[in-house]
Amino acid sequence: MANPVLPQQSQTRPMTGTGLKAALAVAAGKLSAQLIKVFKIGSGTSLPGKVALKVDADLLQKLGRQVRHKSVAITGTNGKSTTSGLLSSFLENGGFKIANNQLGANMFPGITAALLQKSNLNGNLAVDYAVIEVDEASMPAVSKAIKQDLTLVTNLFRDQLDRYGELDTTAKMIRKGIEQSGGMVALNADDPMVTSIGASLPADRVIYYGVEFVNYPAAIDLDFPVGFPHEVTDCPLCQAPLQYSKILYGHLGHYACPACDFKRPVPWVSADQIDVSATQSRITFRVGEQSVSPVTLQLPGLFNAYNFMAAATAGAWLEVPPERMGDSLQSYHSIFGRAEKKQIHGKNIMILLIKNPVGAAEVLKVVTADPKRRLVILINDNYADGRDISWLWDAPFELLAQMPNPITVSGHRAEDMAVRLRYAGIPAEQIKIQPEVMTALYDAVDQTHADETLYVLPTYTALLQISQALKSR
Amino acid sequence: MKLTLGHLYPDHLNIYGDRGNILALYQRAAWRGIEMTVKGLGPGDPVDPDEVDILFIGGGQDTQQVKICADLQGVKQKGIVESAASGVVMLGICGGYQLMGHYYKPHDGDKLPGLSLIDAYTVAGSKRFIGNVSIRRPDGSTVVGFENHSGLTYLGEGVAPLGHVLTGYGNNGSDGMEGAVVGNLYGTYLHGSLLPKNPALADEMLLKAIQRRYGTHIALAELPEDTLEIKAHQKALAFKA
Repeated sequence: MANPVLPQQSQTRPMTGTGLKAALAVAAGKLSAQLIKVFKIGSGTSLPGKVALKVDADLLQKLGRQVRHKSVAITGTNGKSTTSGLLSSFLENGGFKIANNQLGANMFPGITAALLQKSNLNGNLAVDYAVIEVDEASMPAVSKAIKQDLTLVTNLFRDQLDRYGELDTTAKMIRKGIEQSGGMVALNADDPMVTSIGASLPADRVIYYGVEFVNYPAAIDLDFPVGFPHEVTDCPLCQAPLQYSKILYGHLGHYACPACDFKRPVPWVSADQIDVSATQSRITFRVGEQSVSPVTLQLPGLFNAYNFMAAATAGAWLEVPPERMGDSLQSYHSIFGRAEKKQIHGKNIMILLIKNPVGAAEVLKVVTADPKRRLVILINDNYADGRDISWLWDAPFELLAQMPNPITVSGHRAEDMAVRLRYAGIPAEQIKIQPEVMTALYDAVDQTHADETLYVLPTYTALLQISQALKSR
Repeated sequence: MKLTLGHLYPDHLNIYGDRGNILALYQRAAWRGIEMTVKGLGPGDPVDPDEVDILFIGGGQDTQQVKICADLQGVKQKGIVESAASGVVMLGICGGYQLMGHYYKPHDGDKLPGLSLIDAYTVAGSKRFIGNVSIRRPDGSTVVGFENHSGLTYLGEGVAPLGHVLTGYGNNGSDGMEGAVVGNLYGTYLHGSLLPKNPALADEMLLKAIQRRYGTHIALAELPEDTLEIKAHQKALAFKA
């Protein structure tokens, strides 16, 4: 499996007319996007898609089939946005035109909106590649409309149980999407839940990526008197408990089933060493047998190094020269709340979205590694956040027990967050509740010193709230 | 004073922030100078009624719940039944609550037997009950949480619910009852986590556990710093389902 036979990349799809209905739908979508912009209503990321789909329900299909070279879907629990952002930058730096849904509107209407934004008023889409992050639950519907040439799955962690149901259900939805697309599949070899998807596919349809060795600056102790639950680590094929020779984070690592043949596949794109520091990672990797010059990723945390590996794998399959990947990183700007850096009133801000226990754990490690940290946590419980916030209790906020300064909490569930912090061992007087999100943010900015960084940890809709408010400043 | 909490199947049944319930009991004990040991009781581990003061059993994914069934009926059963009979405090949430009853009947397939600690049974429903819940207990106090279940639980004649539903669905969405309380045994669908935002309920369990071990003359000290918990509780009372 080290050198999969890659299909021809140069073929170009035939252009197909979209017809009057699609053109009307595109016009309606574009008009609503303009109205949203002028009147500043909503975020404008998925509403134009909704409007256009009302006019032509088949619009996504009609736009999707016009992509000149390849369509790539990126799904999985964590890392979809950063992975698609990185892959998009690799392709754009090669001079290609791409369509992607960078603002994270990753359900059917949001994806439609992203494509119609790139099409002209006749409904003609002039892009070389589509790089689309797809919500796990939307995989069956989206893959039916757009035949993905490559579907990449980053990881499968417990996430928003009220929306997705259980982890097995999520894996099933992704499998269904892959069946409908029929294209190639790129999987994270280090996640047994993800590789179980590949176990049922012919070997020449699957490529894997993985991490061999990670170097951390300091060990992070997650050993608390009341321990954290483990993700399911039973063999997805025969249910025997998997044996790990190495755990990298969450349930990612090097594993094998003692009872059957299931084991970590040999990655095609492999990180031989990742040196993680507080603000960046240095990644030494190879594609098949070919070594590549080490690259520097200016994003914190091992989870982002994994996102790079995912993007590099899709990139390698799309025949992006590895040197261009490294070059692209120099000008890469993190996107929309994914380790997004900002300056507000001259203070350094870093926004890190949190939405599930494993992702939040990695974010908390990043925050804790910075001795000059301030912190504001924004928790909403709208549908897009997951209405059930019980996951806060499975994320190791205990890491914040040594916070050098008070923590501000806000959002619709500010009080729940405050209670969570108190039981994590943070004294009540060190927890400030400010119900209004923007007031909480600006108060925290004011208290941040010039040599400090304010870490902002929002859930998804809280991120939308602050992004809009900051944009219209 | 010392207490031991037995956490049944921590790696299998832990789906809805159940750790928060254990953490709430642990911290509320610690803040009063009571040292709590949390002991994981996984497959193969027996339950010793003389050792444990509190037993906790959470909810899991269906596949995990099926996996522990044989162990629960085998290695664990005697120790849990004896514990319950000797006044050990037990809290079961969601799947754990269902397992405290007689059985769970899925849509297709055989009944999964429970521990029959509570006179109740559960059948698979066709609708998933998801949302915020608030209930009123017989003493007039309120309990808040979040539910996510499709099982419909019915209590036997004379079994007291944890409370009556103010918002949400509860045991089965039709009889207005939520959870069950039999002596020192508690079962409920509410997570959130349940105990951190319902400190009175957490203290009720701690008090029962400490009095069983150290005598009924023992009282729990007040915790005047509970303002955050009370704020969160009050706010949740106004949440829509």
